[in-house]
Amino acid sequence: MALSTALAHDPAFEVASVRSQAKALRLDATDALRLSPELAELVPGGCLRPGGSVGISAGVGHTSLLFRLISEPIARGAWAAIMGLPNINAHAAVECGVSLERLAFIPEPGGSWLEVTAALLDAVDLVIVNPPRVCRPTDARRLLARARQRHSVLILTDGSVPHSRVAATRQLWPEPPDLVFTPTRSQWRGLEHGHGCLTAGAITVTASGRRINGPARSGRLDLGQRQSAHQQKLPPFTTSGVGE
Amino acid sequence: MMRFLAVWFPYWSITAAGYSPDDPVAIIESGRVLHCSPAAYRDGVRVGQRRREAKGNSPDMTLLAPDPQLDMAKFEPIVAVLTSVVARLEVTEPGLCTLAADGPARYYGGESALIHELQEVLSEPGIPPARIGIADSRFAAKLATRTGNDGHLVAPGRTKDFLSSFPITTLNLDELSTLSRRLGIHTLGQFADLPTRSVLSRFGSAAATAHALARGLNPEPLAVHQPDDELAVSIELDPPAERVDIATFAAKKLSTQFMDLLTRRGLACTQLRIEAQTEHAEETSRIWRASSVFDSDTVVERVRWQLSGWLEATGAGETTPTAGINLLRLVADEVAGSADLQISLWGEMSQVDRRAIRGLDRVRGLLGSSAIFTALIGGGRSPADRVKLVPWGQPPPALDPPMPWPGQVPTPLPAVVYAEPLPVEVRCDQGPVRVTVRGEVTGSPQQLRLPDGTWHRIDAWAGPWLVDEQWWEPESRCRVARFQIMTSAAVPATGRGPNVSDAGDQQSVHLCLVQQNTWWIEATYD
Repeated sequence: MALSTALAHDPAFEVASVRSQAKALRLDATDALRLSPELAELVPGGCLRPGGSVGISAGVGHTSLLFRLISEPIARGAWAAIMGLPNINAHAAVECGVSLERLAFIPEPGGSWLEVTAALLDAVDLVIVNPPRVCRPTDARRLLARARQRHSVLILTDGSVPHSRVAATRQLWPEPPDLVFTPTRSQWRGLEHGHGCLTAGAITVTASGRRINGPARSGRLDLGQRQSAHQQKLPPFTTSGVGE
Repeated sequence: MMRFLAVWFPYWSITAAGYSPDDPVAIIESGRVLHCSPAAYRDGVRVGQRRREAKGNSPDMTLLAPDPQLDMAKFEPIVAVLTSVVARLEVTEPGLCTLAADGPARYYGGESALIHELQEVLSEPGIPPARIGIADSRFAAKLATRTGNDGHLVAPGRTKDFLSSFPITTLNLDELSTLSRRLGIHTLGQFADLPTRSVLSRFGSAAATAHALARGLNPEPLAVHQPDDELAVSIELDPPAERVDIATFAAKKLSTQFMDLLTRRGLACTQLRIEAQTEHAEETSRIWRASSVFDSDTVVERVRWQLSGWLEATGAGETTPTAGINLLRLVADEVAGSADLQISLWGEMSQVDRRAIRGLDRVRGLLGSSAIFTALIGGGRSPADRVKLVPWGQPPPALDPPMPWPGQVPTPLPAVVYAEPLPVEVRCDQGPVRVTVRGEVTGSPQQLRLPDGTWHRIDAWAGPWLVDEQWWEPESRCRVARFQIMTSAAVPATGRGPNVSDAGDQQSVHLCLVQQNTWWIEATYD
């Protein structure tokens, strides 16, 4: 079923009644969609705009950036759903401060991803989508209109297998999002030549798009700052033989 | 299949207030009729009617305010009489109790004999006429009491047919009743014939429960079970409480504690046992069944009902306790753990939560139950072992304990864990890097080849960290070595020189796995 027919046959999609309901059913938007401090500095107002769209470009640190983006809204009571990212590690999300109580995962939406996205926009405040295929402009505009009506935020990611260069050139979503975060630089600490272990990292994030007045802004996100001292020093692995 | 028996006293609130069914009496709450006696019904009074209209229909009618405490106080002696025949009686509300019928029926030699036995004890003077029904589910047993005058027995397996002719309003879901009437669904039978999946996606999980009721099943989405270990809280009252209100006040604090205890375990209580003891070691113990789940207020209310029934007992054969209550105890008799329920336990469910749950139920309807998940973190060594994906709406499984797992991958954790590890190649100057039996590398890793064919220079690495998992099981034994490998620039596939390309600013770190000298990328710090 094409998305247009799916929407037309859905009795819930009656604009007049939906508009009035949507307001009552939403959280207090400006407060609930506030971003974590590092990202808030990059965006005017420091929050996501209900009904808007956000893009996260491919690059090293893409997934951690996503976690950081949704952690604060979820902590403030927003619901989120992540669709089409089968390799995401929920435990790392917890480490980045994302609480799993109000987070749903749809790893493989299959052929009906447009309908599922539409249904998710009705249900939750943050819909994170990794489009599996090229989306037609008409379908994209319909989904954006639905997000506007439902006051939810559509977050488009490019979470194909990281570091294969194909990712950067994909153009699956035809409409430029209002706000685009790009991880431009990544650095990791703790690893040496044959010893040490990864302790911390940092990525540089650039925000651009219609919502940024003037030139793109950049900021730094520190990763892996939450571990306690004893965990850092933990000699992690046993030493029995291997590789017979 | 389990069988359930319900005992129902019609117009209990009216009987408890001391009126007979032949007096025109109505109980009014916030200006509308809540219950009315058969005499009032004959005059044209209906449940839900406005007070003035009802009074117009039946001018002689007595109007009463609801008094649940009195209802329970009068019901208590009857519960005591019933427990002399059957041990585990669940009181749903004053005037209605249910019980699992299999055990008692076997004891008394059949279901008819059990009904007969109950009727015998209920025929004592002072006890109003009761109706008894037996069916395959609690809901059906309750309805069975309404049909027969002296006990209706729905044969095993015939519950669905029995229910089919009842109107859909019996389910008591306003939204569902209005909508389904518009869709041409008027009876439980018609509703039960709808496919469960469609009901779930169109009406949400509350209706899915109702659908199970209509099909004559006990709704099981709650995954009800008896708690593994005793979940109980108790409080000693000093000085002992002589009056119901004093004891109830103490129960408020106790019920908050009780709810905390359950919340910490991620459980909800569906059946509760309330025990109280006096200084003279007199005891009362009753099992209460919730219509859905107990919250703090309903627990306090049940305590008040039970204690007022006990302390102010007036019925035959029941003696009031001779001293004040000094011990109060709440025991979870049956608990449920489910995603839907847990949310309501994290505090009151806001409209936002309701909308999200309903919406996600709908997505489950679109995609099937194994496509939408919530995640839980348990124990385990590899990053993939620690995350458990639970299908949306299903009770959480038992998890491996989170600590301690020596040999865990240390924090920070990789943000991407591949469901299928990516096959890669790692080279040193002398060729492919291998790990020896003693856990040493044959050379310092220099270059990494990703599945897309590009070669990357290795800037730093650590390992090998060896894991020998489940060495006691020959089949599932797993000996692997892990590495963390940091790459930066891609190098041209032909020349092996460190030609830095445009990606020099992006360092990436992979968690690699070596098994049988084959290299895989298990996870990426992304």
